[in-house]
This record gives sequence, structure tokens and C-alpha cells, in this order.
Amino acid sequence: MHGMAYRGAVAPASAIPLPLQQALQSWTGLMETLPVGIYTCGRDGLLVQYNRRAAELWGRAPVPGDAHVRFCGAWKAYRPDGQPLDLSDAPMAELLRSGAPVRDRELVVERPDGTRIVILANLDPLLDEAGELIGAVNCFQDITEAKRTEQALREQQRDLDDFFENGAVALHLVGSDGTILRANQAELDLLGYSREEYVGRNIADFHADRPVIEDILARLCGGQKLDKYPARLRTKDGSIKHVLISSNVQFRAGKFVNTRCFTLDVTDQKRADDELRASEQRYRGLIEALPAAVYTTDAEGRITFYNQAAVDLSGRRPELGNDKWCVTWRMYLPDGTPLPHDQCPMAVALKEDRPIRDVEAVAERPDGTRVPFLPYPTPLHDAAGRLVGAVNMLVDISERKQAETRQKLLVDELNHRVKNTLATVQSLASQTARRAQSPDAFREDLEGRLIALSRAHDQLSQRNWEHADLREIALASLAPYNREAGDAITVSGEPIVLTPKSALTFAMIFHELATNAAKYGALSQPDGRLALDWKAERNGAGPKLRVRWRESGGPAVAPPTRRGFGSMLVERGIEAELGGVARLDFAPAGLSCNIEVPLANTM
Amino acid sequence: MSGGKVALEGLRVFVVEDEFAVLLLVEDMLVQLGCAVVASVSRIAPALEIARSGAFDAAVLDINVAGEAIYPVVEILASRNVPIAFSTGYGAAGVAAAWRAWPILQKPYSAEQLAHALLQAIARVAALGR
Repeated sequence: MHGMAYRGAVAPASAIPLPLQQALQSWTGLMETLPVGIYTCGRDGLLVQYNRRAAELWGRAPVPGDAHVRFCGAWKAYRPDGQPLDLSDAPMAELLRSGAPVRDRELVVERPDGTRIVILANLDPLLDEAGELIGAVNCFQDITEAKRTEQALREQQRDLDDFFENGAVALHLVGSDGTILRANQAELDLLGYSREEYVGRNIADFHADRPVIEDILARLCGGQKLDKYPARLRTKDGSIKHVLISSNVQFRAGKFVNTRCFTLDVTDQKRADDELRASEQRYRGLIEALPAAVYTTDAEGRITFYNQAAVDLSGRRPELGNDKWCVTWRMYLPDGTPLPHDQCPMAVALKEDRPIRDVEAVAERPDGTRVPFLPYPTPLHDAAGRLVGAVNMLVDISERKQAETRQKLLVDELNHRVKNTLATVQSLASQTARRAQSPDAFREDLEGRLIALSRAHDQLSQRNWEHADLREIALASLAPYNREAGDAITVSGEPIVLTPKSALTFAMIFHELATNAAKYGALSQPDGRLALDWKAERNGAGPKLRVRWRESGGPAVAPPTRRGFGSMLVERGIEAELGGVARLDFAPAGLSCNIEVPLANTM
Repeated sequence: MSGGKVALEGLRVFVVEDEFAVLLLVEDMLVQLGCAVVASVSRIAPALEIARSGAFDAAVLDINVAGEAIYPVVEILASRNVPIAFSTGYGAAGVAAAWRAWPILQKPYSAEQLAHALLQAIARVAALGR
């Protein structure tokens, strides 16, 4: 309005018909004070009068009655869409043609300085007393600011709509009855439905678990806010989506309007989680099935996991998160020194952050039994290399230890047997030497005795040095003479099981008797006979084994003048080794020998 | 050897050995050393009897006698201050720790080793008695 002077413009009275002049007179003062632009035109469209505000809005002050200013005082005008408006099409012209009021017509007015404003015009006809149209009044106001606000609001709404429609998170609004009121593209994409297939349906139709959606709606209706509530939705192709729903309800004046649901698709995470859990389960199953005791601890040594084999080995169920360092009840070093838990190999592995190998320890169970084991503690690290715990495997080496012990016993026993045998050989050699008539006789006698001893060893070896059979021992001793004598030898008797010691004694005795018989007795003659028989007598005070050796048909027998080793062995050997009695009878018809030993000492 | 023989001349010895051949050998060796074998048995029961009441100057004892350990006999003999020499196929490991201070003969052994063991046992008793 700069440089513009408003002069209470009124057309010269001569130009205004009298009735109109009178009609306007009383309003003029009032019009000047109104905050809206007001002007009037005559029937011919020429400007009759306008107020201050109208001049301000036009940005100029046209001269009323100026033939160049018709229908409107504005310099230029445009339609709301920006098209230039010929002033002959202005609302005032319209009214003067039709005589009908014009309401809420928007126009853009351009001022001479080029600024534009938006105005809202309301026009009414002016009639004379006869009801004839004599002109019109236009009341217009600046709505530029309101239009701008409206535009901003519209843009804001558009942004919100865009946010809702095109945001990356699936969104929907649901009414109190579960009907889907609105859903965005992300939600439709998530489930594969078109808008028509989805909006308007009940939300429950798309949930895989009815109790879940019922619970969700019940909570929302109750005013609860849901935060990442897990649910499963069914897509159009039938597959299941795992989602987390965050939602609350818009209440207006205490009335449920709609829910606002954010749906987060976690199908991939869920699958990854499930796979991880399944993989963990597999490993757990694997470790559980291992025959070795396995347990884990956290970085502080507290036990976090153990398998059944660990329970079996330690004889107890460790207390998770409380027991430290080892699942065992007590520990010892292999030499029996107590080994405190905080010094055990697992504790060392954790404290020094290194695996421990080749250490042996002994676990004691609560029932007092002990188990030697090899631990394999190994520290565990996270991706950043930080120590997070350790895993330990305890391998029960009881069997190995027992095998070692057995092996040692076996070697000791073998050594003992060899040494005893050597002592026996030493004795045989010594006794043979004392009585030998010549070196040849010594060699022959000693050989015979060693071979007899060796044969008995063979028979015992065949039976793991556990026992031997009396008949087999007897036949083996007599075998060297049997062929020469044909059927001269008879051996009879029930099966008798002999201990190794008694087997050796009988073998040596039979050897001595047979050698003597072959040299001097029945077996030295073609007609000679030898009968060897035995019998177990189980009645009486103590069961006894009676063995009889009877020679006949040999040369006449005379008692020896000097006790040989053989007879000494027979008589004293039976007594010393078997606690029995042996009697040699040098009868002229043939030598006989009666042996009687407690059965308990032979088998 | 000759010194041993002189020192052992007339020594009365008690022998426990369940293997007859070895018993004969030990007896022969002792006779050879000038000792007198006053008793030789092959079972624990008679050995206990003789250990309690027999009169002798030394004992040569097998460890495992027909399946029974010799130690009850050893205890009696030790209480009577009888010098003891063990004779075993197992060697020192076969003798109970409590009795390992006595000389131990590992079978087979010579008469000389037997003499040495007996002299050692006699010396030990003498030392203990002082």
C-alpha cells in the first residue's frame, strides 16, 4: 500500500442515483472500520465505492466511476488454478448478469507491485425498493495466510500418508471388531495380498494362531500397549511369517477408534535362531552321547554344562553355576597327594589361558571309589579372542591302569616262576652230580630229569598254568617207555585235576619211577609189567587220592643199599610238596609204590 | 667262603621251603657250610609250631609257603631274636616292607650267597641286641 492515498472515495453525487446515495450514506462510516474489503458497483459494473481495506488488498486506489475500472478494483486477477481471469468474468460481472449472490469465491489478486494475494469473495445484489437490481456489493478478505496454512497442512498430510503408505515397516490400522481399516504397501508386500484382498477383512483371518490374535486384541482393548509381541502370520501363498507386533489403540473420548500396528518380519532371524538352537541341540546331543566325561565352565571356572558320562565318572551331579573348576568330588595326584580343585589342570588351563595335556589325576567319588583319569582342559575364546570359559574332557583310564597292573603282576609272576624253576634245575643238577658215577651218567640223568620237568611245563602251559590232568601227566612220563614195552604198561584211574604244583611233583616222581623201572625193574625185561592206577576216596575224614605203582615180571628186586635221588624225591617230595605219604616197597616180585595225598592238596 | 664256613660251623638252622627240590638244595648247601639243619618244613602250620618251641640259631624262610605267607612265622622268630634270611623267587619286591631289613636271597642263589645272607642276619641281630 506504499505511496497510496485513500481518500474516502465516493463517486460524485451527481453520478449516483439518489436512492443508492441514500442507502449508502449511513453505512459509509461503518464500512471504513471493517477488516474486510468492501466495494460496490452499479448496474453497469462501474466502481461506486470502496473502503480502505479494499484499497489495501488491491494495492491501489482506483477512481470510482472510472470507465476503465469495471467489476473489480484489482489491477489483475487470476483463477485459483493460476489462469488469468478476464475481469468481465469476475464474480461481480457474474452477479450483475445473474442477479444471484456469489458465495466463497476464491481469486488471486495481483497488485501493481507484482505481489499476489488470495482472496475469498462474497457478493450480494443491491436491490431498489421495487426489487430491481441496481448494483452489487462485494465483501472480500485476504485468505493468503489461511491458504498457505492449508497448503502446509495438505503437504503434511501427504507426507504422513506417504510415510504410512511407503514406509519400510508394515503398518495397519484395525477397528475394535478386528476389521482391517487400512494397511500399507509394506504390509501387503509382506503377506502377498492386494489391498482389495486385505483391507476390510478381519485381521484374525491372517493369523496362524487364533489364540494369539485373540490375546492381542484383548490386550489392546484393555488399553495395553504391545511391544514386539511374537506372532505368526499366514501369507497368500500359505507360508508362515514370524513377526513381532508393536501396537496400541487410539482412543478418542474413551472410545476405541483403531489400533496402530507395526509388524516386524523376523522370519529370517527366527530361522537363524532356530538353526542356531538346533545346531546347539545337535552338539549337546553329540556331547551327551560321547563316552567321555565332558563339561564346560565360564571364564571364572563355574561349571556351566556337563554330560552323563561326567556324572558317571565323578559319581555325583555337579551344581551348575556354583561348583567350580571340576565336576569331581575330590582329586588326587597319581601318587595319592590331595589335589585342591583350584589347582587342578582345568584351573591351571583357565588361569594361564592354555590347554593342559599329558597330566594324570585321580578322582574320588562320594562313595570313596577312585578313578584314575586323563584330563584335557582347553580354554575357549570368543570372536574377539577373549577368554570366555573352557571345556574339559576326562578320560577314564582305570582299565588301562588295571591292564598295566595286570601286566606287571604277570611279569612278576613269570619272573618268580622262572627263578623258582631255575632253583629247581639248580637242585636237580646238584643232586644228580652228587650221585653220578660218571660225567656221561650225570649228563644222561640230568637230561632225563630236565626233559620230564619241561614236559610237565608244556602241559601246564597248554592250560594257562591253571591245572593239569593226572592221566595226561602219567602218560607223558611213561611215553618214552611205552613203545618198547608194547602193552606192558597199563594206566587207569578217574579224571583227577591237579594244581600246577602237584602236577610237577607227580611228573617228577613218575619220571624217577619209570627211569628206575627201565634200568633195573619191570620195564628192563620183555615180560615185565607195570600197572599205574589211582582212585579218589571221598569218604572218611579227609578225601584222599591213592595212587598205586606196581611192577611185576621183572628181575628179582632187592632193597637198594643206598638211597638214590629218585627214592628220596618220591618219599620226601610227596610229603613236602603235597603233604602226603609215599611208601616204596622193594618186594622181590617187583617194586611197588603207594602214594596217598589229601585230595585238597592236588586240585 | 672259608671265613663264612668257619663262622657258620655248627650253626643250627631252621628251613621253611615248600618246593622239595629247592629244600634239598638248601639243606645240601647248609651242610656244605658246616651248618646243622635241625628242622625243615613245607607248611605254615608246622613251621609256626617249630618257630615257637624249636631250638636253632638262624632261619632260612621261603615267603609263599603252599599258598600261605610266612609272616606269622617271621613275627615269632623276630620276637625270639632269631637271625632270618629270606629265600624267594620274587626278590626284594616279594617281601613285605616291614621285613625288608633282613637279607633277601633271590632264587636261584649259591651257597656262598646263602652264607653271606646268614652272616648278615646274625650281625643284624647282634647289632640290635647291643
